[in-house]
Amino acid sequence: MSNVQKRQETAPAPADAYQAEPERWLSPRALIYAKTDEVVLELEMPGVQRDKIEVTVERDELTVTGWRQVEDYENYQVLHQERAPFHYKRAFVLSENVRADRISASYDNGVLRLTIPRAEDSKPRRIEIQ
Amino acid sequence: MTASRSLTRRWDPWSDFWSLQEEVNRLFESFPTRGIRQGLLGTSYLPPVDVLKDKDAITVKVDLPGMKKEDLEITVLNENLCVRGTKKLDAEVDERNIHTRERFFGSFERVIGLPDPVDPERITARFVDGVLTVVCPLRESAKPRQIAVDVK
Repeated sequence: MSNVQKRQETAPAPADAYQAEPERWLSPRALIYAKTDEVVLELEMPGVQRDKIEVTVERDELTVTGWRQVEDYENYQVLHQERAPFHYKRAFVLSENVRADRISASYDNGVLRLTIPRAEDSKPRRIEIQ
Repeated sequence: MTASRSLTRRWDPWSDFWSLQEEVNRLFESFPTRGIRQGLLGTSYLPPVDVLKDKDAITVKVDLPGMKKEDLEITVLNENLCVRGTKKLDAEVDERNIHTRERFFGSFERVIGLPDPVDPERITARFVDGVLTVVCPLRESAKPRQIAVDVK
């Protein structure tokens, strides 16, 4: 079983406080860049706790879901609100130039960072000049 | 005494315009937080802010994913809370190899007018999962006090 599949099966189910299927998702802002050996994908999901993130890969589609910490504003008078109180979800289609089965993920300060190794033959190679 | 005003008035096309202007002015003056202004840096990055109030404090929440605590500066002066900082792009990123760039980077400043006087000594700030929460306790004199009614 690949690491990604294992991760799928042990991913925690969202707590009961969250709706099963929200009527609206927020698409997290992304930064995608390439390094020599890998492609890095960073997604901004402020307000999401580490254990409320799901990363799944099915064939060539990568889906990230982040369940935002539900803030109860009932006991407050809301003077101003700009932060959208929605959960995050976004899907990407991965090219065959990356090894989707070897994704690694880390999360810090509201940013999910996914690192996907590039397939051997897609890495840039230096050509020596004779 | 007779009414000095005639029953008909000549229609002044500008009167509607000016009364609309007055209404807009009134709207801005009555805005409870006295407005949230973008700082003098004039950049386009505006992290979203929520301002909440309960009987003890004004709470300000700002979404700042990927900020480092040391690059963040929170100051309070004369009933204005100022949150400013710089979000830096990782040094390892080669800008020529960026495929998608939606995340904001750079300097920002947001100045939040606090509607009630707060006690600066007791302000606390926490930064968890990319959300900055600043709790500004109200100055004792600004809290509502119950007045006992003497019935004689």
